[in-house]
Amino acid sequence: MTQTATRDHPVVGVYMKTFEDALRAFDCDHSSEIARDLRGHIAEAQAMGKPVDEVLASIGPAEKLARAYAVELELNPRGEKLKRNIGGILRVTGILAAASFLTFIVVMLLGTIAVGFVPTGLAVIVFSGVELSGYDVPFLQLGPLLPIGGMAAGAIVTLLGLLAGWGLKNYLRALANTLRRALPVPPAKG
Amino acid sequence: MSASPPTEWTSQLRRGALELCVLGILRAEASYGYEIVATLGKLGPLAANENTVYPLLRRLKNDAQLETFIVESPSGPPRQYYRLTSQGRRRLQALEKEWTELARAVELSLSNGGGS
Repeated sequence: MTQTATRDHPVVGVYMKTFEDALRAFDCDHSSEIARDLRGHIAEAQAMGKPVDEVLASIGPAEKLARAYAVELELNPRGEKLKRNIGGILRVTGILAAASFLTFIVVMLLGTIAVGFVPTGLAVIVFSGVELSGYDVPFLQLGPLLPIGGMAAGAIVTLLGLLAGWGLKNYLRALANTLRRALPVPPAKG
Repeated sequence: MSASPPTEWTSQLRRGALELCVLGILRAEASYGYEIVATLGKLGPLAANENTVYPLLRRLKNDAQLETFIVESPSGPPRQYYRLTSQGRRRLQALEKEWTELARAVELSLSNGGGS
């Protein structure tokens, strides 16, 4: 194969090694294909009768060519993706550790209030309404409150439950957003 | 074509226009890297170095504007040909339209200072 012959040419071999080493410094998914393209070009030029030195001079320094690929393909330096991923995981772990106790308290407190107060408040409103209409609900003790007062108290309890639910939802949303921001961003294409 | 060396200004212009030119070269028929570089080389100010053209070809391929296929060569190694995809044709049409509008605006500003 001519490609093998090109690979065997000492000057081309040194150039290609320098180029591939320089390209390896970047996160590139297509480095072998890129090297094959370049080998093909050099072999083509040689087949057209151009001296190797002239061909390589026309292409320019291997490091410069690798940088040109990196710029055009928006490649990141190798290892940056890994560092970014590790950093992201550490940030998420740190946030989870720092927020876990607070989250436990908030979820327990607001969750209990939201789940307990809303049905209780609604039940008090309904039964107080029934009392207000003149019907004596068995086992319902409003204490010193008149039925209208019971309805008002039920409304307040329901409102407190709804507020607790709203606060819980916002807390969890803020926590999720914080974790999402801490996650690694997608890598650049290459 | 003029053989005068390109100024920095020409280089900047060419850098922006090169994508359009490469897509334009491939509009009629598929071509391979060496031939594309040679074709650009015959177009005077558009002559671009391999270290500009090959990275651009790779990006256009990554962006699915070009696709490649291998053809055996009678004189050398197998050649990797590039051809436009349907996405590449749409991109070419869009860039061509932008270029035409830009060129018309530049011509207008040069001919009468942009006045009506």
